[in-house]
Amino acid sequence: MKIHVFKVTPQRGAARLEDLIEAISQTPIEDRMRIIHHTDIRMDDAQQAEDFWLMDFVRGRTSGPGRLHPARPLQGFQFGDGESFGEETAALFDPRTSCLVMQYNHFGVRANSVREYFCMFDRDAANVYDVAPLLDEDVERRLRRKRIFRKVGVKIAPVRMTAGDRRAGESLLDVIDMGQDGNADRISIELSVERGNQGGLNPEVVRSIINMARRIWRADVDSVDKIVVVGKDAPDAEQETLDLLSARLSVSFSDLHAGADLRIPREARWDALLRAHRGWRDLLRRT
Amino acid sequence: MMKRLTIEKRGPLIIGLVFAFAWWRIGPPFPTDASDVLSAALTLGAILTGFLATSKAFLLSLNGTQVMGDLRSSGYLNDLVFYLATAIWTAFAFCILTIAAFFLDVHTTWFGPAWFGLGIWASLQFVLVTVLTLRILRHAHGATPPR
Repeated sequence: MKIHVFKVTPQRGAARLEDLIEAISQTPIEDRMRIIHHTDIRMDDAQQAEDFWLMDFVRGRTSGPGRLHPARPLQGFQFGDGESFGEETAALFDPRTSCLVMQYNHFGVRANSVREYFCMFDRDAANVYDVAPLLDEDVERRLRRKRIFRKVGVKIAPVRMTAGDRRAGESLLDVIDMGQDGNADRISIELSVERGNQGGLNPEVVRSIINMARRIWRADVDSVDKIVVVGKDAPDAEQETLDLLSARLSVSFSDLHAGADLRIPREARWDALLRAHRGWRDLLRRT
Repeated sequence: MMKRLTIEKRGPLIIGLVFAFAWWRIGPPFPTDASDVLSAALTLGAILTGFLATSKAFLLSLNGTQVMGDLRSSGYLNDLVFYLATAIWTAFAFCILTIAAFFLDVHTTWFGPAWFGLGIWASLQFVLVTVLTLRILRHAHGATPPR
């Protein structure tokens, strides 16, 4: 099970996230569902452990796997009234460091959906939260040492307006056109110098491309597929390839097993989150 | 360099104040028989107020669309509502001031600049809201595939 960590920043006027989580946990379950990007998302369970909030999110799926038997063809499941497939994603919120530790489930709820769920849950309030991935310092340091850039490549989804834009003071007139892109799903940019060319790319240009891609990535990690830089510290140094997306803080546990119903139990997933949080505790205190 | 959001937020008011000041310094006095000007201005103000009230209904109809979701979760919806509210109240205040003008003496030193400044403020605010609503309209009708 892969686990990532994010930093939560409430915007001015937003309720404290721990208060919002408590309020959601006290709402009856039938009132907790919200529709985010055309899918049903709900916080199924929330419990307090020490100072943290342990949560389990579910996301509805309208089509899913079937029942497999070695001697029989694939069969579907019998669903009751109103039932459908659901994917679970566990999350831990630490109010002291304002960090969100999340399970990575490819089919489950992603960080940006959790963010939108918190923003949209209370329809009477203007709660806006920013959820940004935390990075590993080592890659950052190696990037700063590069003097000569041979190649930079990014692949991004066209960006829509974000809370980050608003904090930076972009006017609504400017951001409202973002995302209108000719209906492209992805934009791919690559700048490189030829083998014979001993010089490098203009560092200003490289850095501004990286910063643009990172800005989009901080707003929604799923909208950036690639940020890669190839460079050297000095003309005679070794060429190094840096994958800036791999700089995310993440940890993997392989000792989680599914139960009889072929789901990994909630307690086991929460336990993994607590272990990850303990491992990162000093680092989180420094952010 | 001032943030673009601040310029967008305060621009109409600042420009209105600048024009009010300019009228006070170098502006012509109100025409002796002001009723025609006032009636025309009142009609314009009433039309703007009415149109802006309709914009509220339009924004409400966007509930559930991608654009509205983005506006909400980015926090920009607060700004949009602020612009719309300011536009409605300034246009309405302009109408009230114009009606009051039929009873007051419009040739006092303060009336011309105040009336003109408020009119400019309300007009610019109206233009801002209209441009934004039109752009939102364009986006709300674009194809947004579910993720």
